Amino acid sequence: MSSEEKLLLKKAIKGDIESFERLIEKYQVKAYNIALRMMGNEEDAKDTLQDAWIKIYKSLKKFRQDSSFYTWIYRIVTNTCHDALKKRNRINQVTSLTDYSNSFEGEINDIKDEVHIPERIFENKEYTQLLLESLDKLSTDHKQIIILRDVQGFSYEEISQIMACSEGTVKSRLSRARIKLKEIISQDRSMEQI
Amino acid sequence: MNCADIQEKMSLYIDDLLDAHDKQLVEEHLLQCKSCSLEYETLMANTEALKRIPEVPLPTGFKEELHTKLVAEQKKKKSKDWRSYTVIAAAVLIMVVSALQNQFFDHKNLTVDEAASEEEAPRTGSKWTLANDSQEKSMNNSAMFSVESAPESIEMDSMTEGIAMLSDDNAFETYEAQVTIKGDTLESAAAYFREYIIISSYYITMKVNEDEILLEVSPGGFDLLLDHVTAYSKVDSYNVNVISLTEQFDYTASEPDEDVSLKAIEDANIKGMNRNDSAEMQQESGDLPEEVIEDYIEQPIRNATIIIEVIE
Repeated sequence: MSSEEKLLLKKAIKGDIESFERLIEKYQVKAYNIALRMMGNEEDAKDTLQDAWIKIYKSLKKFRQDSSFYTWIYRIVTNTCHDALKKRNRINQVTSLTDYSNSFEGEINDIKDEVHIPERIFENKEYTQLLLESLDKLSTDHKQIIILRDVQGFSYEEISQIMACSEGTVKSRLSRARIKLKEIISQDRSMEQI
Repeated sequence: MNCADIQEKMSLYIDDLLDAHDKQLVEEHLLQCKSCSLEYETLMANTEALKRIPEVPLPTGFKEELHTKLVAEQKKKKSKDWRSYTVIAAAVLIMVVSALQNQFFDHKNLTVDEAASEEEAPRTGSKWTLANDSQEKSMNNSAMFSVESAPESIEMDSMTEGIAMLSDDNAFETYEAQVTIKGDTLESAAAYFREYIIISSYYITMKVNEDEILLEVSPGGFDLLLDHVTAYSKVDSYNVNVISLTEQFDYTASEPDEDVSLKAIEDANIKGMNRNDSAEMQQESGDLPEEVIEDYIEQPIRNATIIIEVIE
């Protein structure tokens, strides 16, 4: 934390709203985008993020200055989104798909749809839309890690701090999340083709 | 490396986090295995597409709405703080009023004043004080208490603080805890406990002697007080004893002043006591008259104590 941030933090802990707003200014957009991808729509993202900022404002005293401020902030944001999603009953566990982390033997026989991916498909807007819709169908934990790593670009270490888990867990969870996202997209594309 | 191994390493390969050796093995396998190669292409395409998702700006009015909510939150907090301050202020006011009242009754009722002046009144080293649960006051000038009424007590000197409490509980046992604090000063420890006494809903007395602090509270408030005491960072050890009051009688009297005999003080105390009220005394010589002992039998000592030894 810079000395300016430390000073703002000190004032914000005492209740100074302006100092708090200046302190969180540079994290606002990223936090909003995390919330938006987690919640799936603007309205819920806005409400949930504001709830998270209020929680952070009230909990500033609890921030231990030996860890990084932004991972602490994003942890509260993602946890608040997590809780809001639970409340909204939108935790979708992807079922009936093979758990690749445990069951692999020999060749891959479980890929349901061997579709050749056109080059530069990632530049296709429709594909991106399909991707976002499929992302929304993941379980909350898988969605969260994909958003933090692939959408927001946090490192494994940062993600482990935000999600309060080990880097090993981050690696295995991310691997499973990417595979499941692929399978959802494949299923959705198959449905479209029918 | 087989396909299962490749699958496990695929995600790290996409993020370029494999060491050189594993990276080479994966690349060699992908050149040979169509399925794994397709898997890799798909995962990679998804990752690239996710990276390119544009960042969305904050919605219009977001910061203003947040500001309004923060202001409301701040007002809520201030309102809670004011309620706490009001309670503390009320407690302090009660203490001051009772102090003034005690001063008034002092001149009317205290016969011990005839035996010893206020300056000579025994106060140091005394652990217990006489008390009754009427409006009449203790004979000991170092602290005065009442029981059933609102707390009435005064601080006679800097060594005796707090509001006395005698319990209405019908408990026939009480508690005594010994606590050791190390690496701290008496003043610092006393300041910590003083803060709790002010806000506690139980009546607690605190007396500070040379190297120890004595806290006294009704058995009902013992657990909370002990929790607070043992939460103090400098506490080294503690133990708790349960004292049965049906088998023991403790009488107390202040240590006599040089010029005043113990007997004289006891006589004065007995004259001032209301027989219908509870009385708590510690007997040193068993010379107290029978009626006093009978009073004591009916309503034994109920206060719990915490004796805190402070070692610097």
